[in-house]
Amino acid sequence: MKLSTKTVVVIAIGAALYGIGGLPMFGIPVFANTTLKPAMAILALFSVLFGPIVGFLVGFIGHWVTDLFAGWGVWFTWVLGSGIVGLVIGLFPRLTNRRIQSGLFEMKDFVLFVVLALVGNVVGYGCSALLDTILYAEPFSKVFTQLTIIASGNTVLIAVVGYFILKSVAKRNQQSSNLSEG
Amino acid sequence: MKAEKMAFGISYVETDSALHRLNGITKFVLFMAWVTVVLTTFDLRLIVALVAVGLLLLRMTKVPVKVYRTLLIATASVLSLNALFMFLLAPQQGTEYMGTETVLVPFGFYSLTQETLFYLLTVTLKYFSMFPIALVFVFTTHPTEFSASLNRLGIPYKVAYAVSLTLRYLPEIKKDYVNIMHAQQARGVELSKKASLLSRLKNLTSILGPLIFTSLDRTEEISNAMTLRGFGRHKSRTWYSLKPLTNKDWICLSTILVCVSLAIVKHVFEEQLFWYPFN
Amino acid sequence: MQIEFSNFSFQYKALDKPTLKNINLKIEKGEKIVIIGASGSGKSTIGRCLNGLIPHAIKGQCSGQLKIAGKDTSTFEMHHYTEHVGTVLQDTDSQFVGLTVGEDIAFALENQCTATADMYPIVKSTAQMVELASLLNASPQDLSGGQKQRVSLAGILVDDVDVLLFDEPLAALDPKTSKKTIEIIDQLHRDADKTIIIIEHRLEDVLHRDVDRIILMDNGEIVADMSPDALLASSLLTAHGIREPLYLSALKSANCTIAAEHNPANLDKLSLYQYKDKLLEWFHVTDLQTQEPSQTPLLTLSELTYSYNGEVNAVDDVSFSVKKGEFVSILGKNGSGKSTLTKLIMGVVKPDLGKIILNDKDLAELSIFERSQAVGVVMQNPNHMISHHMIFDEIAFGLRNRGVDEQLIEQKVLQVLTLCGLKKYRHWPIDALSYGQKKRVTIASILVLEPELLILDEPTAGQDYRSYTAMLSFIKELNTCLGITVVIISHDMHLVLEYTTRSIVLSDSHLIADAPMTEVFSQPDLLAKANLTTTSLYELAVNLEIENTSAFMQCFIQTEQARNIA
Ligand SMILES: Nc1ncnc2c1ncn2[C@@H]1O[C@H](COP(=O)(O)OP(=O)(O)OP(=O)(O)O)[C@@H](O)[C@H]1O
Ligand SMILES: Nc1ncnc2c1ncn2[C@@H]1O[C@H](COP(=O)(O)OP(=O)(O)OP(=O)(O)O)[C@@H](O)[C@H]1O
Ligand SMILES: [Mg+2]
Ligand SMILES: [Mg+2]
Repeated sequence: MKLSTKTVVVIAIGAALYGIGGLPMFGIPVFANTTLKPAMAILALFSVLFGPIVGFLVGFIGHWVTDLFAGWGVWFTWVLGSGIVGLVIGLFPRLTNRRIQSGLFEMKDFVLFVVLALVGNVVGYGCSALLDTILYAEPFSKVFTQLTIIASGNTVLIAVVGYFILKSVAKRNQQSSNLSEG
Repeated sequence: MKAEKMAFGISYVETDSALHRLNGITKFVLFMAWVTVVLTTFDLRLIVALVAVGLLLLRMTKVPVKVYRTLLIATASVLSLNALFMFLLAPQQGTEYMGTETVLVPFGFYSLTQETLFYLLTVTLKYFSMFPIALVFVFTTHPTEFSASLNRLGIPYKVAYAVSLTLRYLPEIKKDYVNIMHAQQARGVELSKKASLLSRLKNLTSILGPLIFTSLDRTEEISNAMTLRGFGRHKSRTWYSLKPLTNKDWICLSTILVCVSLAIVKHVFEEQLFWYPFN
Repeated sequence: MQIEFSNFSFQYKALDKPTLKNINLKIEKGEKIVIIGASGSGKSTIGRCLNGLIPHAIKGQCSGQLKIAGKDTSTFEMHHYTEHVGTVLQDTDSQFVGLTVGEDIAFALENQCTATADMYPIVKSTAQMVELASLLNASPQDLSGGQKQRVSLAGILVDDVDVLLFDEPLAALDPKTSKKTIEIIDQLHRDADKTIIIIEHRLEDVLHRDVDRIILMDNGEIVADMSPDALLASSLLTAHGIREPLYLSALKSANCTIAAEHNPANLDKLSLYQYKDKLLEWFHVTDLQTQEPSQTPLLTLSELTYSYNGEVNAVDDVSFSVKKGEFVSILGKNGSGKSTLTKLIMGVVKPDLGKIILNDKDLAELSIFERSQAVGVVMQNPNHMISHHMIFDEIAFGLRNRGVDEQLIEQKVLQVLTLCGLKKYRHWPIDALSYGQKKRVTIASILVLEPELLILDEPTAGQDYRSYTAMLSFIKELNTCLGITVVIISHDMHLVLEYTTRSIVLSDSHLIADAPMTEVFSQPDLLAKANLTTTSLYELAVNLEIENTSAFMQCFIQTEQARNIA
């Protein structure tokens, strides 16, 4: 895998942010060992800014870190899930050919963003749920309930928080161009 | 102990126990092996054994129990809650797997069968068996050694280093968060107990923004610093904190290997998913 | 030929004007040069061109040519630069990548695939060289400003490159340590025969050891490229707002004519007898018109003790008090607990023992926010204070929180921006500023609040003479006119002498002195204990057998202030 130094750092910082943000103290518990993590917005942000590979690794490493340091043992199925979510949302820059870097974030971008968030969550945590039924013989009905809650919850969360962050990202990128003294 | 002196979550604890002296590679392999075994078995006997061994190892770390007591309780309760939900949503799951039905408490749809009880017990313990080993791993493996090991085990060094940096920046980002919070308080944002909860929440959001953006700006500076000091210059790199494998390590590694292969063999030859003695 | 700029210009992508304007500069192998210039004049930018960050990591347009080791860099990959040039960055925070000091020092070695076994001895010896041996397992974040700077120094000493670039290596170091650092660098230069490029504001400290050439920059252009002696003999430095070595300023204000051949770059080599008459004629004892500060204490610290890790105390049983309207300084070696004191007063950390009284109120009950109404603190590390993207918002922030109306804010902010020499950048994002400019933004953001007690942690670090005299005279004004009480932490002995009436000296987390600066100067053992030194002005007086040294320094200060007002 060809990673630039910048990418390595971005992954690390992203994972650290997502990892801490994911800790239970910041979470909103909604269901059996299922919390809505505002940190999802961070994962989304890094995926949107830096693409699928970063997205995947931020999700994967970050979630792993959360599990490890929260101390409840590592739940690989969901670690993988976070990775996939990042991966999917990471398609955003490819599909919008990096408009946001030049300070543009329009309605259609936002819609795409939300759609990706939804798909990502369904696919990503869908895998987790499926694997749980296999590896932990969890009842399908239960993991399915979990999945629907998480997917919908996260999507809303990502949409709302993500909107504001991405807006201001765009704004910043605009503000830092052709500055003149005086 | 005051907040600003407290380490967050759980982290490496230096007690120089036998486990600390083991090589990071060994511990990581153990961890992964453990996970594989746990994931592939539904045999209560094996699971109970795992839990027992795990707790034993946890004692061996010489880390005082008070460090992880609350965690233990929290995890236990989370898992039992999980079990409860499993029962509520699929009370018949057990009978489906075991193929028999021995009702203990008849209650229509929610009548509790012995099979379900057994099933819930197995799964919950299965989850729980991951808990002690994760703690052992975190308590005894210094972050730098951990990433060094990852690299040695064939993970590309850049990914391994990303992991190392992640661990390096966890406390850092917590510090940033605190710093920004203080800087803002010092310039007139009230975050202490004295402000109303609502305004505190509002103000908290005014910290998250800066936090994310400082972190983003940071990435620039850090990657510059790293490039300047020759990171990514060669196809590989060495690790300051990588210890050589000792005989002890080799012994452990081979034992682990044997156990895992046995477990897998067992898994392959089991005709029934769950081990269930009562039929 | 090691390095050659020819008609080289560079413009940051974000800016509409070039920052470097056709630079022509040759640096021979094994040379040792110093780059000085006002804050924002493009020194670090030149550095970034040398180490390849420009154009590889930082975007913008280059024109002209830069050759390193005889090869045109337009064909260079990043690693070609790193094979030649080692850099100590100006902003030490971003320099650290290791989890421990030891690992951080070893980083370059790791990337060169040095065998793990071989690393330990190298790291150990380097750590000893910069007196970090005891901190090898500490995490770089848990170090004091100066200690950090030494770690980053060690980080490139292990690297085997032939050009070493130091971007303000002294900024946060105490006088003794900076002398030592200069000696280390000089040793590298002579023994390992490396090409040395030092970017520094503290010219006098750099000249503690000989340098071959000094490059003087002013907004993006090289205005002088000559031997130290020639430059110091000329009046270029003052013309471009750079602080000359004190003894020279003194000689010049006593209008002695200094010629390059008298080698003015070195006080010991400079034969003084020739100036003696002129100096004595200029020197007149002036009565110190220090207005007695009111006796009512504003801030009182009693038996204050704090430890970060519960093992060693960063501040140990420190007690002193600051009277209303005083201008006090806190001095002490790196890691002696100065910044920790400010953190304690701010309320960022809570004391383990002892208490802090402000206006007869125990601060323990007050939140950071409530304290901030009375106490304004400028932290040592600008990165810990900045939380906005745009300069204007950053400075207006405090006022907005107080619900001041926008017009007034606008006008107040512009006023302090002008004072801090940032007016023309008011519409800029902060990340487009030089380090010194950033630091000034943080100072401005506190000054604008006009707090009752103002605490500045190393306000002049990384600042040029012109901009910090402008700021400090403003602060002095606040102090005399509005009666605002000021505490500054600084390593600049002369500055302390010039502005403050009383000094509090810390050493290894204990308070070892609380006396007027002139007294502190007269106690060599005390100075030694706190890694402080006398100024060259003091030495000058001594060499000329002037008994009343303090009067001499006072006389100098007054002449200079007179000049600044004019
Ligand atoms: N990353 C950047 N993007 C845009 N402009 C920049 C950037 N860095 C610096 N500048 C601009 O270039 C000019 C020179 O900056 P530089 O850092 O070289 O100054 P300096 O001489 O090092 O100052 P100091 O002594 O304060 O470090 C500054 O006015 C600053 O506005
Ligand atoms: N965040 C921290 N965590 C742990 N230890 C710290 C932290 N900050 C400082 N220290 C330690 O406390 C001691 C005092 O640090 P402090 O920053 O007060 O020194 P200082 O007098 O400001 O030095 P300098 O002049 O270099 O800024 C140092 O030994 C330092 O290693
Ligand atoms: Mg600079
Ligand atoms: Mg300090």
